[in-house]
Amino acid sequence: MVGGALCGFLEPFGDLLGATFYPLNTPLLVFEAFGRQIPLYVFVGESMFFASAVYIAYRFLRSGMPTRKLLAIIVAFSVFDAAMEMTCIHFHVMTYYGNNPLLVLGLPLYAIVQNGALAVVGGWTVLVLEPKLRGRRAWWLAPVVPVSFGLQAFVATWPMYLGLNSDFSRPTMLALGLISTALNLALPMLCIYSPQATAARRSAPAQIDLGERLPYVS
Amino acid sequence: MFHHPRVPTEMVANQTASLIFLAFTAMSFLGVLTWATSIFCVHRTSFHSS
Repeated sequence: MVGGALCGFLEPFGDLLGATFYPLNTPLLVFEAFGRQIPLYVFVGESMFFASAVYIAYRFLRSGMPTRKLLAIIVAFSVFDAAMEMTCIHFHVMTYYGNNPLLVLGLPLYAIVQNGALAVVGGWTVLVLEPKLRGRRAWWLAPVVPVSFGLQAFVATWPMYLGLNSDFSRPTMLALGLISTALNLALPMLCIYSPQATAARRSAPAQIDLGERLPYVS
Repeated sequence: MFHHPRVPTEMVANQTASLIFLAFTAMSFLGVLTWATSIFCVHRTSFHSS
């Protein structure tokens, strides 16, 4: 949850690159960077969203869940995030602006995929780093969450960030948006079929208890 | 080549919707916090009893 809240500090970067805006009269604006004001609900919402998404995906990966269940996590969190953001856009709580041909009810297609994929990408990052960060060092997993999400967005959504901040034509923007969508789909697939996740699937029974004791909690 | 699109600074937030969304995120946050705390307590109990 700490890691999720830290993601709020990345929001101004994402808003600037991804052409997202929270109106200046939004109640409880609590952070400003690069001229972007970030409301309290971004920190609270991202803490809740990242904590549940990354933790559940991590437990599924570690428990050796089959690929279809990991894909179901991506779909579930994509739908949950899309429902929240589309509702916010509809009721003028926030907006995506600029020459964006991939808006679905105001929300870009690549963002829908990206925000579901972050569960598996973040969960995989924790899966890989958790054996090295046990005991008190487990607190270092908190900043791992925003770093993982930042790198995911930088790598997979970069083509569209470039397009949104350039003078490209609408067909070029459409192509860049579709490339970003495809990259945001490919990245979690790489995680699912990584040696670490494959090894977990081979060694662990496909059962999960979300309340099971974690190896790094002492 | 590079230029940022015009930011719609004139946009006015629906204050009621913003507060409702803040309340929704706060309730969800408390739900996840309760879940995380219960997992942590179960872990501590099982760890110390074993």
